[in-house]
Amino acid sequence: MSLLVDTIVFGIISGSLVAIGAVGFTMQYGITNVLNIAYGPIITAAIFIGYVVSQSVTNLAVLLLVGGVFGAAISYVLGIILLGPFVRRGTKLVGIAIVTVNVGLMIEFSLEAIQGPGLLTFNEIPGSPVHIANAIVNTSQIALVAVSFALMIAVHLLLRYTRVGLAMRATSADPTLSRGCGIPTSRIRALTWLISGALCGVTGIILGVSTGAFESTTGNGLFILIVAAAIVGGIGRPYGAMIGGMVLGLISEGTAAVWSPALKDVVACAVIVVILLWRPQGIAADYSATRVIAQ
Amino acid sequence: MSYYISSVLIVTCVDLIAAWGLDLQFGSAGINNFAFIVFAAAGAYTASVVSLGSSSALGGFQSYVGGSHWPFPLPILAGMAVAGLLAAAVGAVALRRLRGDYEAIVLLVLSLIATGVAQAEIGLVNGPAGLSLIPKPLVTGLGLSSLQYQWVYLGWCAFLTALVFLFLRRIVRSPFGRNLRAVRDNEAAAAAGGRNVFALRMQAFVIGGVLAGLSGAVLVEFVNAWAPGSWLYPETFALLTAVIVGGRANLGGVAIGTILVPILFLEVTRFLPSIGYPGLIDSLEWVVIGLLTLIFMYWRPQGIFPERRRRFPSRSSGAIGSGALLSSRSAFSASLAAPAGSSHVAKSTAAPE
Repeated sequence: MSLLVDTIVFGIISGSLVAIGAVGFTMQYGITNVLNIAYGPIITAAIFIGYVVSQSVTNLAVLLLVGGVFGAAISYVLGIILLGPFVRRGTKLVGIAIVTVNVGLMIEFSLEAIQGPGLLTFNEIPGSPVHIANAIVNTSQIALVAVSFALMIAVHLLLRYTRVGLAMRATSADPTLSRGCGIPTSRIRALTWLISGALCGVTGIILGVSTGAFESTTGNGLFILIVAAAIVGGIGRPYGAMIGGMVLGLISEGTAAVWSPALKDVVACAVIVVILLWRPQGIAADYSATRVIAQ
Repeated sequence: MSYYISSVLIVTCVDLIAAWGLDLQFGSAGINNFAFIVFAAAGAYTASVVSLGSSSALGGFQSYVGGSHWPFPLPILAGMAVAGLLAAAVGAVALRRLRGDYEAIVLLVLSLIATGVAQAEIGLVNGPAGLSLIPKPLVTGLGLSSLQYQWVYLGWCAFLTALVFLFLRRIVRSPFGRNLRAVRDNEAAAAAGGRNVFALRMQAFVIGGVLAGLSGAVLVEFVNAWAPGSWLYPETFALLTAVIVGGRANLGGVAIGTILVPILFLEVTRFLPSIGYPGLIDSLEWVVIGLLTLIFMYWRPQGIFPERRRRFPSRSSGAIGSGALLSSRSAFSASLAAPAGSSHVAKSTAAPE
């Protein structure tokens, strides 16, 4: 019984982390049509920025804000300033994937060069332990979960109830028709890179605060779960990503509790394989083959 | 120095086999195999396990699956077979009509997962420490000095490389190779022309996987050690950079790219004066490799030596099905980058001379 409660509590904690990351990742794909493989390394870069800032400020809100702004800025540079010329040159989807993966490599190894040998350790964020049934969690962890849920609700409100959100959904569904209807699609795309990049940066800060020790490949570990969550939810669909993230969090914490933490990755792999074989809708070629990248 | 030169040449042969294998998948068949290094690692692991002997020998200080003393060429064949089977299994999941970039990200994530599992499970591959003391083949039977052995091993690698080259040249020029390029350039047209797209891609994927296994097995028998940390996902992109720089779907171009990028570039930096802590230059090398790919993707996506436009002698029969396929022949070089309406597209005609 206590194992079940533990699993659910920690599953929600790690699930909210995966979910908020997956929402940013899947928004990027859904609206800009770019599968951003550099997403994992950008998460790591945000951890590094958070680490530097936390040397002087340990206020959680400040860290999250800095991470969000940093993630938004670097994603904007990647998505608009770097990818823009490639798209105008006619680079197609696979070419874009090769570009983003190499950008990711450059970020990852730049961080490795900065980091040097050995792990870095995030400063402990002050907080006090709280008992939920038998599970002991820190107040800062609860705050992070609250932040994740607040951001997901914010994304929901943005997409559902604002004119900008309507324009985003229209751009996602049919960019050409949207432009014909007077939607400034290039500005919508730029805004999407900023918002999803901010979510990416916040994800990095949450990951850094909750794991403590980190290195230049830490973001890649979370990226596996984020991609799995996006695939479960149907890529390009923010609500699917939220559900997928929570499912992945619960499943992976359950695996860690029942079998071994080493099997988390195996479970993510199994989830990807099962979804690809059983319900590839939303990621199958038919759904997305006709879509084009435009700036 | 002689020792060093022979080592570099052996690694060159290994990288050539691997780069050609990746090029068959990426260049000819258009499969974005971002997990290529996993198949090389699987081949290498298999080859080491079947030549190491039982895991309880030597005090059982390393644990692995299986273990036996197979004679010389068998470990390499076993590595090729296992890598091929793994490619068939992965291909059955990942090649199911996913969009190109999606296929790429799924394979990349599988590559990351494979590393994670290999490092976490001690019983499977001895964890992050990996395997060591893998015996060199025939080292006792030949009775050579270690330097002589180097050159003999180089000869064996060169022989294998030549074999792979002839094999791939044969494939590229065969109807099978034409079908692969047709699938790559226009999947719908190839399917409409009666080609089994999934089977063709699968065959290319498995052949490339077998070649990856071969390169891994030959390498591991040379360096005598195997660890998950030396087969990480960036290695795939060193090879991919070689293919992109040299020129995809051009065996000679890929060979030049391999000599330029993974060999010359990575070896020359060893002679630079060391700056900072050990490993700093290695990290910076990867940053430069990423930058190199971006530069080529922007200014010369077809590589230094672009794929040759193939011309066919006119034939009276069989033109109905293949005509449509041939017309899209050179669209691929344009499809990855190249400005719209470039000379490549304009010159693309199916007309046989």
